[in-house]
Order: sequence, then C-alpha cells, then structure tokens
Amino acid sequence: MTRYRTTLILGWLALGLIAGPPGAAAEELTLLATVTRVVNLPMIVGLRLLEREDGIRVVVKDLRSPEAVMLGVIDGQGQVATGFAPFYPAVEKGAPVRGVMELSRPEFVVMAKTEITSVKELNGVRLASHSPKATVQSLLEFYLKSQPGVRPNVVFIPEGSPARAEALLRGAVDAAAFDLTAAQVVNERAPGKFHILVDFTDQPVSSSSLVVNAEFARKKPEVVQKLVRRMLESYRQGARDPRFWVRERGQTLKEIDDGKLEGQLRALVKIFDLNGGLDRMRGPGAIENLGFQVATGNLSGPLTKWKPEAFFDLAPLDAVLKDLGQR
Amino acid sequence: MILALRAASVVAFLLLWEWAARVPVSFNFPSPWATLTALAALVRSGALLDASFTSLQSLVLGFGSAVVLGVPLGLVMGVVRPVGRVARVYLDLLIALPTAALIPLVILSFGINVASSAVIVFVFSAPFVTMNAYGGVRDVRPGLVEMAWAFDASWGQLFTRIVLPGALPMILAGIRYALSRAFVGLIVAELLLSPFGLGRLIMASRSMFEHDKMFATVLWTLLLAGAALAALARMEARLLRWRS
Repeated sequence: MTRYRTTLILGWLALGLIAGPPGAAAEELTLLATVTRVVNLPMIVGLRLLEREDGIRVVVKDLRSPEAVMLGVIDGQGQVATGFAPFYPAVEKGAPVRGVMELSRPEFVVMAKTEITSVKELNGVRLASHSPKATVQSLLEFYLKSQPGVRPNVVFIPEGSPARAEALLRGAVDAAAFDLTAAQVVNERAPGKFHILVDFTDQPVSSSSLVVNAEFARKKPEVVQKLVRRMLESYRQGARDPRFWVRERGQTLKEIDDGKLEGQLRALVKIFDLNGGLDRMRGPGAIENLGFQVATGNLSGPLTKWKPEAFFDLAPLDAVLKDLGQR
Repeated sequence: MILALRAASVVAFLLLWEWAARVPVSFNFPSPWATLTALAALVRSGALLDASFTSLQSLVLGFGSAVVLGVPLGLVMGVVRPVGRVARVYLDLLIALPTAALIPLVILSFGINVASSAVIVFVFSAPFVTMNAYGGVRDVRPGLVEMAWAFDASWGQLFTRIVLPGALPMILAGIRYALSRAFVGLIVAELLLSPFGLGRLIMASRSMFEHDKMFATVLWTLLLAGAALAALARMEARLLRWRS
C-alpha cells in the first residue's frame, strides 16, 4: 500500500513537472503569409530566432492571396502577417492593423526579350504582371507614369512569379514583371535570350511590411518588440553573410540547393533594410511611401490627408533600434 | 402558396444577410442595401456591362462549343455502344478532374486570351452535356425501338423519330446543368487564369477591400446566370411541349 501511494505521488509530481506551473504555457504566435518564397527567408529565420531565443512558438500559415492574409489578421486568426499592397486600402477602410517594420523594398524587375532594347519598345508588347492591385503592378503603373507614350499590353497572370517566368520563357508574353529570383531562373534556363529592362529594387518604397493586429499589439507589446528584434537580428546577420539564412532556414525551402539559394539571397540582400525601414515609415520618406500608394490608387487622395501614424506603429522598432543601434 | 414560400425564403435570406453585415461576420462585410447601391453605381458607370460583354464572349465560345460537340458525341456514344463504353471512362475522369489545377497549363497551351478561358468553360461544362446526351439515348424505351423496327423504320427514321425525341429531355437537362457549370468555370478562369471581365472586377474590388462592389459583381453574375438558366428552362418547356 505504501509503495502504491509513493508511486502515485511520484506520478503526480512527474505530471506536474511536465505540464509546468499554471500560467507558464509557452507563448504562441501565428503569422499569416502568402506562399513562402526566397524573399521571405530572412523573415522565416527571424521567426526561428524568436522560437529559439525567446521560447515563443511560431506557426506560419500560408494563404493564397495578400487580401486573404489581411482579412485573417484583421479577424485575429493570426496575430502577425506579411502586408503587401492590400495593407493600405485595408487601413483606409478602418482595419485595426498596423505595420511595425518593413520586411522588404521591392524585389521586382521587368524582364524582356533581348530584342526589346529600351523601355520605349515596351509600347504595345504583351507584358505579364500579377493582378490589378498587386505590388508589382502598382510599381509598374507608377514607373510607366514617368514614361509618356509607353503603354504595354499588360496581361495578368496571378499565379506568382514562376508562372510569369514560364510564360516569358515559352513566348506567351514578350516581357514580364516578376521577382529577382525568377529573373535568375530565366537567365539560367535561357541564357542571353532575356534581359532586365527595368529594376524596381532601388525604388524608395516598401514592398511588404510586418503587420500586427492592433489589439494584440496593445495586449502584448513585449512580444511584438521581441519579434521585431529577432527580425532585425536576422536581417543584419544575413546581410553580413547570406549563408546565415541558408544555414538557419530549417525545413523551409529545403528543396532548393544551398549554393543556388545563397546566390539568390545575395541578389536580394539590398532590399532588406537593416533599420527595419524606419526611413520609409516616418518623416519625408514615409510621405513618399504613402505618395506611391496614392499615385497607384491603393489609397484615395489627396496625399495630405494621410499621416504615417495611421499606418505604422513605430514604438517597438524605436525601442529595438535604441538597444541595437542604427546602421 | 409556392409564390409565398419563395417570397418568404428571399426575405429570410435578406434578413440573415443584414444580420451578418451588422455583426459583422467579417471585416467590411457589406449589407444588402450597400451591395444594391454598389450594383447600381457599377451599372451606371458602365464597368459592369463592359466586363459582362468580355466575360460573355468566353462563355458563349466555351459553352457553345460544349453543346455543339458534346451533344453529338453523347448521341454517338449512346447509339454505338463500343464507343460509349470507351468514351465513358474519359468522361468520368473529366468530371472528377480538378480543373482549376490545370489552369497554368491552359495558359501555356492556349495563350493569355479569351480562348484560354473559353477552354476552361468548355472543360467545366462539356462532360455534363455529353454524359446527359449519352444517358438520354440509353434511356430510350426499348419497346419503342422494337416497334419502329417492326414497322420497318430506317436508321434515319429510328434516330429522328424515336431516339432523338426520347433523349431530348435529358439532353436539355444536361445543357441546363452545364450552363450553371459554365458560369462557375468562367469565374474560376477569370480569377485564376488572367483577370479580365467579371473576374477582374471581382479581383480589383477584393484587393481594395471594396466588398460591396465585390458582392455586387457576384450578385450580377448570379443574375446573369439566373436569366440564362430561366431562358433555357423556357426553351426546354417549349421544345418538350409535345410530351404533355
């Protein structure tokens, strides 16, 4: 009887140890993203750092469209999300979400057949883009406004950059706007047949932002701050040596060869801001950023009615930069 | 009585919709009134009519081809049994086919144009037209066929006087069902293939969180489909008047 009682007590103790004290359950964060691509890898590594260093479990859920991602984070089905062009009209319609850091500047380029030697020659040719309000289309429209008389015949292929690259390779279109990694693939598969005609990667606008549900940010500011911190750490370490991202990626994009992935990431390094895009979320840079959204129709005008604070909550980024220092 | 029930179901639906908008069940969920207002604005601006014209081209091309090719194929399958046995397997597979997954292949094969979405419309609708025509022939009463043979009818007479009229109800039902599938195929194609027409309008308003416009476009598509189906039902009733 005594042995039975001892076993029972030890059993309960063991169960208690496994379960941990009440209220000590690990924090969990759900990030909603559009389908994971190479450009998301620094963010994924940041999330892995958050898991490893802060013990916050992160679940990444991929959705098909950036609008669905926005609706999910507005609805609280995920606390954090990748925000592309639909982030801006969502805020305009009163969505309780805020951008806390920039994830990347534009990663897009326009690639064309080598016979098309100048932007002027894009006039009338079939140019593949994503969809009417996608970031890449917004960039294209914004750029074409500075090229009077150039009106390509834009066809939409909303299946992602690889599909547009395939369409270009097969001759279904004469030019296509897609991400840099797709451009590398095109060059590898058909060397010398296509070239980059327009490079959007140096545009002073945000392509995607880390968006948080406002209620979550209010309730758990420390978690948001930790998240921003790990993201910046990932960006900074990866910028020094992109092999860091390759090494730390876990099972993400495991199907891509390490060397190839490193090459693609090296090409993308310039679009990741080491200060979390602070310059495009505050002051004149932010106005220019919002001006781009107004010019492309993602936000209604005039620009003067918009304040960056309506879109961005910089408290977590400021706190992290104070600690880590600006670059 | 039927009319009252119909009216009650519409009112119940509208009340449920209004409730969903007031809760709201999701961000920016539009009320029926907001949707109707957006619909009126889209009609006034001409955007909806332009988009409908573009979409209807794919629909007419794809669905028209499905009827023109599907009905004769189904009849041949029904009359020539070995052809029926072989082709039926493919039709069953086509019906079960996850068509949306093939869209990238369709783009590459047919280009980014109206023809591509017409192909999708065709694939969505043709199997049902063919299957019903085939089933219609198989269901012709054997007694009637035997009677025709007994009266020394030729093959042509047998086909035009017995087989075709006997199969007609099922053929027409198949065409009606295929038309509703064609509308589904049309929107799937325009959303996933290359947004133009009504699909483009839906996608653009979704991107801008203008859900009232998005619902208005969906409602318009339903109205178009409803009108087309009603027209077909009318034609069906007229063609089958001899039965009553």
